[in-house]
Amino acid sequence: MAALDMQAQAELVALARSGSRVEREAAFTRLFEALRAPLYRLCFNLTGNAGDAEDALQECLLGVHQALPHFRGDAQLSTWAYRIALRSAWRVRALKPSNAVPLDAAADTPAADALPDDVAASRQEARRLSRAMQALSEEHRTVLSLFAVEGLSHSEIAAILGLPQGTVWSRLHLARKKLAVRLA
Amino acid sequence: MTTCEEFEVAIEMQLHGALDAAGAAQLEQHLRTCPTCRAFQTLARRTEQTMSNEATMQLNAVNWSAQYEQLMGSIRAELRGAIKRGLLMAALMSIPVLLMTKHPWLVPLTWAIALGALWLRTVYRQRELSSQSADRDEFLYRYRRQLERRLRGIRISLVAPLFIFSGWFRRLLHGDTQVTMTTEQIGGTIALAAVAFGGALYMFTVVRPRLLKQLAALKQQ
Repeated sequence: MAALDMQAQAELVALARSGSRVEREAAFTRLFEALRAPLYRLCFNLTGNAGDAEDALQECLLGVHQALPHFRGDAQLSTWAYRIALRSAWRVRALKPSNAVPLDAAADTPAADALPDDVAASRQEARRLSRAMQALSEEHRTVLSLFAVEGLSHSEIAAILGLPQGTVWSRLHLARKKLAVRLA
Repeated sequence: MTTCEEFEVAIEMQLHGALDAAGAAQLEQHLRTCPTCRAFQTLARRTEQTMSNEATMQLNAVNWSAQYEQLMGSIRAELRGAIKRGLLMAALMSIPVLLMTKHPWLVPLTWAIALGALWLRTVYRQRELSSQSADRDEFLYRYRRQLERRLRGIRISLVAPLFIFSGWFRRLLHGDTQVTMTTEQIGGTIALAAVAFGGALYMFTVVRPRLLKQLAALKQQ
């Protein structure tokens, strides 16, 4: 979400509040471009499959669109959007318990034996990791996703999750330990 | 830092650029002598790399233009829904005009009560939205409570028409079928009955099953 600096964020919010219909739509399109990838990655890691991740992303961006004019600006726009994405992913996953099985992230890719050795090995590792990730608790998966995939700082994650910064580190450490046990 | 647990947290911090120089030196010294922490460091690096690669690969598989179109479609549908709700509200506002021909001063009072209730609902929803928790269990608990409240509301909407028209029912039971209303009042009563019973039927047959399904899924958590 580095594509949007604070000034650009403020401009977008101002346009979403008081711009003409065309300006509002243009502002939201810019926001969509900037937010879609990080929000999708988070939703994918939390829901465990592409279909649910897309549903969660849609729900999240619709929520962003509805709530943008009421955005108070007491947090960064990205922090606020991540929070909405978290809740959308939780809701989608809670309402579709049948999908709460370990994902096979490589289901749509060619079989491992059809790939070169190193690629096949890395795909296999990704599959193992995905299964281990899905077996983690929701809170551990969330913190690991925000750290590992999004590369957010601990202070940003603390702001998103509403936790003290020390708790974020210890939660990340616990998540990694549990992941290590499952991968062993 | 003295224990491996503490050094493992330091490894996480180092991986994310949050470890100061003194801590980094201490960690480096510890890693030279501790195979467990070295293995943990390797695992941490490897999992982050794999997760990041996997997420990037999934990103490439998404059809973004289709996603955008779907989103815009949902936004347009929301707008259409808001317009429909506005029209329905305007139609509902006209009912008191028909019903209260004998006491026209009651009409603005009815409107004020209806608009006040609508305003309170909006304020309540916005407060609920801003207080949504970043803790999953709490968030899902509140979501479940919200669904249960809506289901209670539907039960009330089923009983409400019976109260609204209780006078009529009593008169019908006593065989009093004489109509003493003006044509406008009859029109207003029919409109009110259509809204009350139609709304209740919609809530019961369309909204209630959907909410029950969501509640059942949440209870399985």
